[in-house]
Amino acid sequence: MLNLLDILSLKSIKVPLASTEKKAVVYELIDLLAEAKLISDAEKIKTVVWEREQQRTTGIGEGLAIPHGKSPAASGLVMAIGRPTEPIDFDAIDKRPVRLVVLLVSPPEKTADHIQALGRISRMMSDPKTRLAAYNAESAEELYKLFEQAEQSTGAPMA
Amino acid sequence: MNIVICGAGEVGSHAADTFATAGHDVTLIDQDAERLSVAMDTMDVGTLQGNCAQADVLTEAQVGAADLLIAATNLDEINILTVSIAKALGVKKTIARVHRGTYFEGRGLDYRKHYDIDQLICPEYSTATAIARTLRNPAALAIEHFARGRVEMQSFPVTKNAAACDKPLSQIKLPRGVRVAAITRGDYVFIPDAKTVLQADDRIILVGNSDVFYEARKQFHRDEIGKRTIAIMGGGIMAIWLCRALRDRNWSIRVFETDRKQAEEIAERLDWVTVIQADPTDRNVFQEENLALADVFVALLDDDEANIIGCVLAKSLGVLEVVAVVQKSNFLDLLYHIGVDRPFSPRMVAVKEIEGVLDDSPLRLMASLAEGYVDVYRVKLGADSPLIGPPLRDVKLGANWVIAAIRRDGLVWVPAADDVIEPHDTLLVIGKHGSEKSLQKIVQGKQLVKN
Repeated sequence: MLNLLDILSLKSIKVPLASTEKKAVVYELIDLLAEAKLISDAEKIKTVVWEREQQRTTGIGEGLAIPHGKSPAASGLVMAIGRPTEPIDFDAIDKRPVRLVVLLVSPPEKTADHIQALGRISRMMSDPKTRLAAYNAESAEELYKLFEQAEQSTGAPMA
Repeated sequence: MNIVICGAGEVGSHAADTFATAGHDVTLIDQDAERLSVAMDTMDVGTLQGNCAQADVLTEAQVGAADLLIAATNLDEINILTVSIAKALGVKKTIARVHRGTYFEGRGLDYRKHYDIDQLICPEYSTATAIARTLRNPAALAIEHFARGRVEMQSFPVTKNAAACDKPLSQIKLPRGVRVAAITRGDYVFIPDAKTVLQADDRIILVGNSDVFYEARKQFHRDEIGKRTIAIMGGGIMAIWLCRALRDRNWSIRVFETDRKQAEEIAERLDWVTVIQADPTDRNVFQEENLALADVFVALLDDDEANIIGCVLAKSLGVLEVVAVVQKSNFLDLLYHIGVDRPFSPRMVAVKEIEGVLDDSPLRLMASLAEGYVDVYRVKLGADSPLIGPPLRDVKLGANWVIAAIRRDGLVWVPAADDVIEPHDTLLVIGKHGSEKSLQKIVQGKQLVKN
């Protein structure tokens, strides 16, 4: 069973993000993965993630966005998380501004892990208390701890 | 509006959040202090700890001054008792959430009438029928909440070899309670009259009472498509309702249920369905049953994760359309990204239904059809509407609108020329997009109303 902590490290969390606009935020998180040496070619990944984003917004509601993409430039499933200083416009389906951005990049063949990770994030963020705490996190450490706590309380159904 | 909600579970919490966000004053009652504290932390609602089936608790929540009470605890009997007490204490409107078919369908007794409940809502039923409608025809969706399956509406092309082709409508023998509501011919949309001659490839919107609809449809369209196949994972109450909604509609249905007793029970209750005691996501079963060739895969288990994984698997192995029910997710749209074509959340379906009950505006746009050229409106009539009184053949609705259905005292039907509209009827009206102003005038007399 996939554990989110296996694909998350302090180096891939940024609080607050420097960017204030949708595309820039997504790119900032991809650069973060590149700096942490988790992906090889940031530019290629920027292209696939942004293409995907334009097919259908990943602003899935209630302040959460989950931009994602598949590319051989990632050797395994990787994740980056950022909290913007101010909620940003993400063309979300419920029109609400986005308060937390979770980016997932995986190699094309790792579909199962990718789906499982999205499911676990969704389950975790469906809890109103956790969601609120994540949106108000003051530091990368605080966000990491939230994910740690959520992963410890297993057993609840996904999504 | 003042709204009291009993039960801070899935439906209750989601309703509280939705209505508080919309600016209503919401009081949430529950026995569990922990649940209430979560609600207080995350939404703008008042809370009260106690048993909602007690008059003193409801009085403390000032139910007598409330516009609406929603009873959504997890016990049907408590919900029915609660709305009954609330009515006695003076609440204006009540909605009770029930799970069990016996209350919802009123087997043996019309519970809704007996306890003076304004609306019974069963999320499982609403979800199953909503799924069925999306599988059947887009126009059918537009009428779902209005007609609860009693009236059928579909949009489809007239075929060349059909009996009704090249004839004026007056010469087509239609059963009582069926009518052609609108015609799209090329880029042109119009409401037909008796002289209108149908041509091949005209796209019509046909509306009719469910019992005679399909018989009438044959006159306009000869089905060339064979049976479509559907595989349903999970044989619970939602599966039963879904199968019933798809019955006699050219579907070949297989239900997969791993529990032997449950499988036997549904096989007995649904004799037009093939019930298989197996897990369809087991690769061997999937192959043996040739599920890759299924048109639709619907996952209705109680386990959200199993539903999602089942759907993603079915999709990746070749099923055209996959539908999953998820109880707990706040993020239905995420599922599209994973590969689920149509995710359904019973609590969201239920809250949508409650919103519909709350909406008292005289004109409400229910749907747009034919690429936006045709609008479907729900119309609540005032007591002095000029439509009330004369038989429908003498009612002047103008060239742009047609009355598709009438709802009165919980009954819904497609009217005939001699039907008479009564005060407080609700109508479903279909017409050309862009002519809402004329509809307002017709419905309300000279006076224009704000929507």
